[in-house]
Amino acid sequence: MLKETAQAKIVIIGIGNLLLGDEGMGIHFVRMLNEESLDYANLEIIDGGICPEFASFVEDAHKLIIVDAIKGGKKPGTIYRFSIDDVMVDLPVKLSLHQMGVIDSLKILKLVGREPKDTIIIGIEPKNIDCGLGISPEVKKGLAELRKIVMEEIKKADS
Amino acid sequence: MTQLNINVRHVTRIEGHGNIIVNAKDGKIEQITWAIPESPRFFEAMFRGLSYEDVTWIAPRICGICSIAHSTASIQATEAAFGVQLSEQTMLLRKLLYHAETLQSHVLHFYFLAAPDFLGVGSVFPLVNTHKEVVLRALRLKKLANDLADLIGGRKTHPNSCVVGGFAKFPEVSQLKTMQQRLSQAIGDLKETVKLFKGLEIPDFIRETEYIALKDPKEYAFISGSIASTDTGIAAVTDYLNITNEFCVPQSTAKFSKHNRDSYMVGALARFNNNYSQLLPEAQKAAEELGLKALCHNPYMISVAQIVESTHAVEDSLRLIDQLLARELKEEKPDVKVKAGRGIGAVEAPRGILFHDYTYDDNGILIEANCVIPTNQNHNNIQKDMETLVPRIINQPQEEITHMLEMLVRAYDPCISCSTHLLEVKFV
Repeated sequence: MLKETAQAKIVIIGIGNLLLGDEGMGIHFVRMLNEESLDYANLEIIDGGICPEFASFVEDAHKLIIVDAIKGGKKPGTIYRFSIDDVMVDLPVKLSLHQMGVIDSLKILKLVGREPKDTIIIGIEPKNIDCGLGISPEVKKGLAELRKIVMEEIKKADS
Repeated sequence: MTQLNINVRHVTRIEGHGNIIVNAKDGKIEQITWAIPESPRFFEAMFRGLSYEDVTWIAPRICGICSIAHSTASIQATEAAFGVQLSEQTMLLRKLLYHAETLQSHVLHFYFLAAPDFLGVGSVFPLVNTHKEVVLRALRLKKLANDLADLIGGRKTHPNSCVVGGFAKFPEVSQLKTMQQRLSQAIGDLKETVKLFKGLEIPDFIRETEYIALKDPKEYAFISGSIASTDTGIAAVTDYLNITNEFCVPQSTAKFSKHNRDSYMVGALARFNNNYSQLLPEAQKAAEELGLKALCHNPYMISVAQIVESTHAVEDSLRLIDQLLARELKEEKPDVKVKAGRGIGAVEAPRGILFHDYTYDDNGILIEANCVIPTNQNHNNIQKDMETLVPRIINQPQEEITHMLEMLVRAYDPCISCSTHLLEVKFV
């Protein structure tokens, strides 16, 4: 049964470029979720595209789930689920705003004290990030697995 | 013997970004190179064979910061090809949406990229500790711009309600009124921004160049008008290839451009230099306070021109909403009749003039496309700036020279590798 706004707000944001094959898997994923009717009232699903800074999109979230293609050196289709503290990230001096990304946005939110209480990053190792609108069979298969992870997270927040 | 070897290589995410290379021996310069080694994208090839509706849907995905610019240029190219006439309401909404992008991109640029340089910190992150209110103000302005984009364009980024011939979704009157209140409040934040930048020391570097931007006799142009050059005057948008003259250089996979001189500049300063007299009153005041006067030949002042333009964008948004509220907002259906032909869309993306040039067949299938992005037009100007700047500062410590050159590139904020946002991680 749907609950109203007393529920903690969950934001799911997909990141990526739809024009570059598996790079766009985050967007394919949120589109897939948008086609379902999810049993959670206070849920926002955002197509973040390739916007370099999404801090202002998600600052009121209680739980933030970021979905992105992830290059972690494993075989294509591998599912990743981690928090920001699990990874080593390089934040070099930037020459262009186009070099900003997920980690920068999270770090900004944290520094201004507006970070969601709980943030998880999930994604799939891409196979092909060349120009093209489709995704590889490996990533397509992984999307169903990501859906399971998201459903568990929603269930946890609801309990 | 003193030797200077600067080699700033920005290898992040997937491929190389812009590289700055300077070599000198005993004060004698051997090499100054601005190189862009990233793989070229082939979006134009992807457009071929698609229907005009699909092109409209794909174009905003080219860039995450300039998605409204790509969307608008794309739609206008298609409209020009089909001879579509637009209603006054469509133009008002389109201009309003466009200001959202100008504001969000400029705010990010002058607060997150330029301000840390002028305040002497490496990035926006230490700024949070020393100037938290500044960062909160930036996020507030950014959120406002995102919400305006959402209200008119249907999404905070990559708009989906803009279609060929008009809009697929319309804001409610009450939503426009609420937005108008928020925009009025933002004028205060922009005044604070002017105050902040007024006190900052901006490098004094002058190199005369040519400035190219759209020009419209009716207003400070973003999505209408002809091409204006501070050297050669007005040219029709249909003549854009005679302006951009793209060419290949050995150091770069990205194309370079030139027109009347060795190089030209596009972007906020180029727009200001061509159209300053058409700025609205608060923006004019901001320019005066910040000491920005046309013609300004200091590329480090690009960020200052962006603050002035942000003020203009908010002022003009208030005016546009007034005009929309004064008329009855109607759910107009786009009137599009497909026909074969070629059309060119020209808009002022935050980083400068952007062209989309499409040719369609009888069925509205795209058969040829060409996109000229602002950054490619600026690369040559960055190179020429570096060639002039380095000899003037050659006796300074290597670190200082590197910093000045990085600041210069950041002022242009080149659109390099904007198309990928894949997260590359190493687990600990």
